[in-house]
Amino acid sequence: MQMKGCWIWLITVFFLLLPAMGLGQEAVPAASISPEVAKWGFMAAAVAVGVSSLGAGIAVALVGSAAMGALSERPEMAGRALIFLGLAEGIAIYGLIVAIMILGKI
Amino acid sequence: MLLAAARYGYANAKVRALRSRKLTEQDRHFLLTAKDLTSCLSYLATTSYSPCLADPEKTIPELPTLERQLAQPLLGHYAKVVYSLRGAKERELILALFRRFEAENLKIVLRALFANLNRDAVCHLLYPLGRLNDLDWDTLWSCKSVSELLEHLRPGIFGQSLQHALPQFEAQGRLFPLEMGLDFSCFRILRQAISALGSRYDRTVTEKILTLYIDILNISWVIRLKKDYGLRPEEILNYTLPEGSLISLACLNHLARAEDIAEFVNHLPPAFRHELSTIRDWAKLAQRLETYFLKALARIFSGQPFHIGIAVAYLLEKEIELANLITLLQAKARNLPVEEIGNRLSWQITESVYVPAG
Amino acid sequence: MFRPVKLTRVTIQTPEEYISEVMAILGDLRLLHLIRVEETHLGRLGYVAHVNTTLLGRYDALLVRINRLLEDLQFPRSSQVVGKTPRPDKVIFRLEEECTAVEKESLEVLEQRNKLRSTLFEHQTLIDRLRLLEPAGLELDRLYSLRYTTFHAGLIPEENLERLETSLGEIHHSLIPIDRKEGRVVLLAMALKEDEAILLRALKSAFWDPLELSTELQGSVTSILERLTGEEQQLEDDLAELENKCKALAHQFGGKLQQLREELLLGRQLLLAQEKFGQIDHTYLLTGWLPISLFDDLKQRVMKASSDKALVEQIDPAEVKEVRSGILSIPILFNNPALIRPFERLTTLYGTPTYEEVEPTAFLAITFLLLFGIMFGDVGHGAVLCALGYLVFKKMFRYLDYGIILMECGLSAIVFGILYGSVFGLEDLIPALWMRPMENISYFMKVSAGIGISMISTGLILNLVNILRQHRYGELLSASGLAGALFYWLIAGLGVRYFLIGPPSAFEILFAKAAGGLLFTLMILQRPVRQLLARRSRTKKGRFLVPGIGVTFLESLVEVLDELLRYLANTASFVRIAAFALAHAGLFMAVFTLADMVRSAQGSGFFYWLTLILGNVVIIGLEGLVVSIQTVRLEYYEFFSKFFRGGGKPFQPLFEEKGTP
Repeated sequence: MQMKGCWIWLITVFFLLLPAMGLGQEAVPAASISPEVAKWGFMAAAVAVGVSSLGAGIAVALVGSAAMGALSERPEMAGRALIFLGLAEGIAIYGLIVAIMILGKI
Repeated sequence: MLLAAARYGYANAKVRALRSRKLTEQDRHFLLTAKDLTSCLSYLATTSYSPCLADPEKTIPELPTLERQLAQPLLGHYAKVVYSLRGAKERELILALFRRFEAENLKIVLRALFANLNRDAVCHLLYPLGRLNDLDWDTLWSCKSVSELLEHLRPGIFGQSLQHALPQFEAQGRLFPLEMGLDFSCFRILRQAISALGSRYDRTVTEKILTLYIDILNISWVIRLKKDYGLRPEEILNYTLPEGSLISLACLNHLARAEDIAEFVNHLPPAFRHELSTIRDWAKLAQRLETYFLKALARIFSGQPFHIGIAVAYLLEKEIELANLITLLQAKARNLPVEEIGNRLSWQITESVYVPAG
Repeated sequence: MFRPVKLTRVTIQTPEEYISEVMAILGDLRLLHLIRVEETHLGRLGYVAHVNTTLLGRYDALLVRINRLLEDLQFPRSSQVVGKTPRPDKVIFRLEEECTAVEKESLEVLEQRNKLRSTLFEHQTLIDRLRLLEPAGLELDRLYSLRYTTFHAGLIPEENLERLETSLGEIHHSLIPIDRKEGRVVLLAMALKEDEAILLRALKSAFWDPLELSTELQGSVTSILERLTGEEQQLEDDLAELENKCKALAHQFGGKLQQLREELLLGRQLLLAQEKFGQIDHTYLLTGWLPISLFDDLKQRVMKASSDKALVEQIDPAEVKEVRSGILSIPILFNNPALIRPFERLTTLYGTPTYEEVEPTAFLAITFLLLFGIMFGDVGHGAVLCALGYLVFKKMFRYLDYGIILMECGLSAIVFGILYGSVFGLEDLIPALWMRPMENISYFMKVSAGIGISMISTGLILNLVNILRQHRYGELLSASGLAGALFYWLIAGLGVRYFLIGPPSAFEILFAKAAGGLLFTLMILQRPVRQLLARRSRTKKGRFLVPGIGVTFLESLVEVLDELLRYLANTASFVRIAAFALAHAGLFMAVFTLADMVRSAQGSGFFYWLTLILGNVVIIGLEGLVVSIQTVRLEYYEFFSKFFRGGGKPFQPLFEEKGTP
């Protein structure tokens, strides 16, 4: 039991020390752009990511469930099914790219 | 459309994947032209029926046992389709279709009880119901008399019709009323399940399929009761199913009293009359009707894909395929010539077509 | 704790006379996992499983009798606790005798009662049937005296009425519905006497249920009914008397019958366990897995009970032939301290570890509590969870495990609440010993990524340990083995260094590139190379470019890229820890804002406190649920998937623990 207790302490310390070591770094101040435009820019970025994630969610749900149904009977179709799934997931990435481009300009 | 896609996406994909393993044109050709029963079965073992055929070293079981074993893929597919559907009402519909097989098994139990056979003598004639089974078969087999059996079945879905048929069973002393009662209750359950469906499109499609099925069944039953059982018209009419769409009660009245084929076909509604105008033989009539039904089912698969009708149509298609397969095997066992066998099947086989392998 | 209990394979051979006593000892010991002798090589020596079917038949028959008695007397079936484990072949005689005694007293009364019940029922049905005809005001003798028409009274199902009407279209008939009842119509069918055959045939096929009215029933239906009702009253009084007698019997014998039943079930279970024994001539052979610590006790007791005629041996599991060839797998018996034991449920939900693998419940427990605490850190909420867990622990015996888990999670949440300085969302009561989540968002996210790196590293280390233990050396070079782990630590190390100190120096980047490139190539090439070597060692021919090698190469490339991307995704996935901790703090802000709005509208008082309390309850419920699900997801998909293969067999002791409801 002594050895076991020792192990428990060691592991807990390992988990806590590793991340707690270190101090955060301050964020770099943004380039100058009028706060009015910046406000709308943030809003736009948020909407872009949010709505595209929603669309991707719906798409992946539909494609994924149909893919699962077909795969369960014919496993050889896995490759083609996953290609369609990848197409659906890409929609979220498009939104993310737009958001990053917007935030890059602000 | 989106909601329907979300509800039926998985089920639709699954049913179509299952359907892709149907017996192809080539399969049917080779099965039909096989030399004898053994070579037919060995070809069958290369199709999707292979899991239920015993491996080649063991001896081939008797044909009645084999027929029930071949039903295993069908019943397995019922379970798969049920578990792939999301709504409880949709599942109820497929389960209602499944109850027909439970009813068939109940008929075997009743017959065994009536003829004083014990379970082992007839257990090979039972359908392998699998996971969807919810009747307690051990209790049913341990009943000593028909009335005890019906007591056990009273709370279930078959209970009401069997109770209604019980007095006639006791009066006539034969099982025929009880078996008809079971058939009636199956269709009543089906109709209830359809009317309980939520989406209007689902209801329309399944009603269309079901009423066509009922019409065709009614016609076949009238023919069978007239020719094979020799019943009088008053009796025949009371044994038909209610609520067919194209064939009304008055029409059935005329059909039951018709004496020859020409008069019979004349009384049918135009849609059927077209199909059947050239038939001269009672047996071919039923078979042609089945082909008509198969064509109607196939049309469903080329329409809108997201509804429950796809699952229903597939399961009925597979059942008809199984029935044809069994007819084929029985004919092969009796070594009938190829054209005659072809005449009895409702598959559309163009026999001269040879599809090369690959 | 990290390994399951060490087991040994025990074989007991005893002569036939002592088998029952040995079984009783095994029943007491409980922690023996029996193996079917037929599955081992001993089975091929001729040892055959032999259940004493006649004795089992007696047990079954007696069980049926006792169950029926209990049912007739309407005594509930509940479990009682049985003391000592009996010898099955001896105790059956006593049980049968006691059951017969009870039956002698009660069977007669029960039978009389059942008969009276059925007579009353028949009477009632006749009355019901006549009541059906009452609305028509029929006078039966007048109907019987009609000359040209015949009549039949009965019931048909409602849906058949239309078809019946149509089928009788050819003859003169009259169908008079009298009443509707339970989906059936009470019908009076009349037709000409010469058409009676057709009428009967049609009725027959429409599921006709005739109301038999004997020609003796004179007078109108109403008068007959009065007479029958009078008779019924008398029968009911008799029945009530018999019911009272039955109740007295139930009182007298009920408890005893339950006791008998429990003993019966226990003896039967022991008999069934015989199924796993082997028997040859007059010797019985049993074999099974037993914890090493219990072996001496078992040996001593068996030797004593069989007067030293039995033979008890043990073999180390590694030397058992079936285990080495892979037919049998050693079952695992969990070996965790009481605080970690509730988490075994979570482990077995994912899969059962094999005997050689590291048993991960301890790691699961610690990381679970850690992650839960970080995401749910609040002193007040932690205290509520603790109290809830304590309640469940004390009151609901069945959910004991969950109670303990709740208490431990609550404690963890309290600890992290102290570190965050948050008590029921109020941040000014106690100082933050570590940091406040809402004010150090990017730091928190880096900390979460760091926790992710450490957890994944632990998973990788455990994977390496498992690989070594299970001698799967071929996998060391693959992306899920040592090479993958080294690559991951290289990149992770670079990342950590960047965030802690600053951009890495040119030398470090060069080193990283070189080492990374080397490991990458190794991972891609290991599968094609192994396949090539395997093929060459078999065919012994030249030819490096075997057909199919290109495909394997491509597959290998895709596989490695997939694994590496997955490492990245897994690490990034841990940022959700920060997200949920921030959500927790955010929800507090929302509740306080809401309460302030209520206060400004209604004033400080009842509604303000109500809003606060309700808000806190909602937060505990919602966040508790979400955080536990997310933690379990992180455990399973990021941690377990690195090393847990599963496929082991759980230890099945001879009997379940008695006393659990």
